[in-house]
Amino acid sequence: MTPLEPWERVYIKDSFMDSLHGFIDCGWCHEGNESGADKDEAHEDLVHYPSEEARFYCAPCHEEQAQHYRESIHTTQEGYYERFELRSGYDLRSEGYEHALEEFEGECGKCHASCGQCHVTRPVTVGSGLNWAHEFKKTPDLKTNCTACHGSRVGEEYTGGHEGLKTDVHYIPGAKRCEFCHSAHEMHGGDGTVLTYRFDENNSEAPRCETCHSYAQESNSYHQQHWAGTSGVTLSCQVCHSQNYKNCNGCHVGGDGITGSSYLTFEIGRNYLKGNARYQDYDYITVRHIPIAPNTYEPWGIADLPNFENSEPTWKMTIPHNIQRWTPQTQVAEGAGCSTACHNSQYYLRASDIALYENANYNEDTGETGYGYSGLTRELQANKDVIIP
Amino acid sequence: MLSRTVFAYKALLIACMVMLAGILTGCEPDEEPDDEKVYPDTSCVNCHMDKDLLKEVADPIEQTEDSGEG
Repeated sequence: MTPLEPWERVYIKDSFMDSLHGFIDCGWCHEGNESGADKDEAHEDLVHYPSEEARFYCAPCHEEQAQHYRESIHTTQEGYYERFELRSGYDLRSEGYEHALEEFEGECGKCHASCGQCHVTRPVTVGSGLNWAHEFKKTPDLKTNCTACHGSRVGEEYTGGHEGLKTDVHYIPGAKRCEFCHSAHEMHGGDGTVLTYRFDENNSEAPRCETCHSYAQESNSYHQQHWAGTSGVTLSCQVCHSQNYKNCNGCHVGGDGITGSSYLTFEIGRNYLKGNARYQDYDYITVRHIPIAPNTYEPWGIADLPNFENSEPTWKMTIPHNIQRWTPQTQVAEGAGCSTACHNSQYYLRASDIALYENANYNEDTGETGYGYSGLTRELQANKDVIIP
Repeated sequence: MLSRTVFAYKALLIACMVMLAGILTGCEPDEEPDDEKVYPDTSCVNCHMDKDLLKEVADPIEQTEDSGEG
């Protein structure tokens, strides 16, 4: 994504002035002082991002979207807060944690998206700036909006950014984009149900492959066995149809970011969400390592997450966005069964894999380990419901 | 009496011709037609549609290629 020049970030073109929003007085959304004699005077009390207060500035015309958007996880980031609470044992928003909450909102919390960050500007996390000279776009741009935030994993996987890996089969530049699967209804908060995180069992708007591909359930023996379930073991679609994807270790707040390693791998784990109304139909799923560590929040004075090993796994359910019909899992020799590629294979997440990847200095090129990792026992415990024995 | 009436008609005719000439003259463009559209004359638009001005006064801000998340 090409950065915008400083002037481009605030430059307005005829295309905006000719659009519907261009007929609205600037001050109606941005306040400020239109009669100011200079830049400073004109920008007094300026509202840079009106849609942060969508109920005031957007709701008069877009009432339904503004109402539901307030409850969407793009806005609330409830998943961030809930995961923190599960691992730490306390709610950041409760009394006594004001300092931690301030730090959390200043760093993790800034990733939330307002209406404008999808429909007018680039997201604030990448420096913002008017995306189309202030023109409003009904559908956000894949590159400058969606993958500006969801870039390092989803974006690179979807568009074939990893060397040696193919794009997602659904990716057709300029045609099939994010909205092909992720509806506006989903992005805007669905029917107003407040979700705790994206895999919330009440997330009725989450895309399902079956919506388009249900006809294929009986199309071959693999689908019959592992999708229809005649074998007694069901797999998520990604188990067979995704390629290697990115995993990370050791994220730390306070500006350090990822202090561990990033590596491409593919791991099948047990579905620890089984029983969740929305994801209960798979026995095995693809899992991705997230970079949480017991000392992730140390720079904020939170030295440890006491529930690290007894709350959430660190190898979590993932929906890699690099789907292909033919993958190393589905390509087997002529006449061979699927077991030759998959059953009891290297793709299973074993305890030994936890040890291998959890090493902060793991090198995906050489496979070198040997630096030790003091938190390995906790990692093994945290993933006990995911690891395949 | 008749001459007065004729004079009045002549005067009215001349007046009409003068007015018509005035109208026609007034309708003629003073300058070459300007294709640029005219937008509300607010200080916001004046500055934010002026690329050269913005290049002088716009504040630089740190931008990244992607947020590194997700």
